[in-house]
Amino acid sequence: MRDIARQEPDHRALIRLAAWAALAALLVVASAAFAHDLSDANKSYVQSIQGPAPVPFFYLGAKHMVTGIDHIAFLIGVVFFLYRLRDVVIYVSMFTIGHSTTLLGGVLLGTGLNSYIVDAVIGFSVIYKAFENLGGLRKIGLAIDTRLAVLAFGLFHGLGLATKLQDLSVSDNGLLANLIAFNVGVEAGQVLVLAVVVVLLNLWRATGGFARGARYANLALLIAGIGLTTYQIAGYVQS
Amino acid sequence: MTQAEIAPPQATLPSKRQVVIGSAVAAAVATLALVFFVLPAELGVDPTGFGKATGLTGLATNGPPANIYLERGLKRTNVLFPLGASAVPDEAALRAALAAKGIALPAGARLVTDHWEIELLPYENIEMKYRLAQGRSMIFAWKSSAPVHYDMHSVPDQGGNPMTESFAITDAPAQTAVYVAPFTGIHGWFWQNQTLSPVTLSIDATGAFTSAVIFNQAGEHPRGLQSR
Repeated sequence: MRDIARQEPDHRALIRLAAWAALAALLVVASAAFAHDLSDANKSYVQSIQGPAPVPFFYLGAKHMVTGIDHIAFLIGVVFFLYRLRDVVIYVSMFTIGHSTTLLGGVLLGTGLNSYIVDAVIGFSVIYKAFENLGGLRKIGLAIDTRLAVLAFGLFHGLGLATKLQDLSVSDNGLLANLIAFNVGVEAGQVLVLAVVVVLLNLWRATGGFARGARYANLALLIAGIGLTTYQIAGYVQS
Repeated sequence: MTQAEIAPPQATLPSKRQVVIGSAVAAAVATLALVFFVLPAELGVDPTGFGKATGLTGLATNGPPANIYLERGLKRTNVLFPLGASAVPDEAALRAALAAKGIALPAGARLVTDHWEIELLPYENIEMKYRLAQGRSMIFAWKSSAPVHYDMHSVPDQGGNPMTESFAITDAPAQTAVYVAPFTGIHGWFWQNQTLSPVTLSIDATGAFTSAVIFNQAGEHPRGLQSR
């Protein structure tokens, strides 16, 4: 009997359907990123908020993460070859520590960089991770601890969030509470995105096409990263 | 190579039960997020009252007008009376419109007519204002060859620019209305051509104005009234 390899479970179609539905949902949400950036959120309303308003800020944080195509691309790159929950938690924690530090610190200290530069670095983080996933770093003899790299890029992602929040000129009244709510929202959005991404990647991993497809997927990520970076650099040059 | 080294030793597809449970959990989370967060914040649809209680629905509303001049101007109810596009901006129409609103035309106000035309290059803007004393009125009709962005506003002599009041800010190819000056000052329009082709704009007005002024890139210039 040479049929062992072909013994597919009969619910494969169901899995495939669920996977495609989840992917489609993710794409629909991500495509809204171009229409709804954080700075396009209702500015006058956010500016008019005085005092703690945790839920709207929580929502804005989660929305920024779920609709931010650059953040999603980076997260996909980070968890691409992580299949154990422990590893996912470690890497995501590094990222969270990084961006929480600069988000809270940046807004409270009033520091921010040009948002084009920060977004270009975020785009570069996608290039970096895709390049590493393709085995490129090892090929050129660079051995960077991925956890440190993720932490460093987390710092930049947070700086980008801090810059965007300051562009909104949020009131000082209740700022700390609102910032923390925003940060918690970012985590919630990240968990939502990760849940979908990790489940889809694990489904894919269980199929034969993963090893081959992984290369193309990371090439696609690389291209997306290059696109995001050049787009932001062009924006910076024009501004 | 990288993949082979860190790929899971044995990746298995989830069982049918896991798929069903997972999908159900995902659908439940998505539904809760939709009902409690996304619908109130994006569309102002708030079936549970959660959005209103937490201020989330504020994200869906337009909030207070960001323009304090417009906010001030819109509080007045007896300044701008829009007319149909077919109304002729002459003395008879002005008297009829004021009578219909129960507004007296101040005695001694000399009514004059004015006609003015301008071509706006792509993205060019200009302002033209009439000098009117408090309570004096005018009827006007302007039209452009393509919709323009405009801000009809007034600057009082007492208070100047900071006390500006706007009465209409929108995009339109024409505006016809009766205007009663809420204060002594200059009263008129900012127009901007927001297209890539030149736009011709013309205005006819009849009213108790005494002079007109133009503001363009080069500054402020008095403009002689030109009767038809």
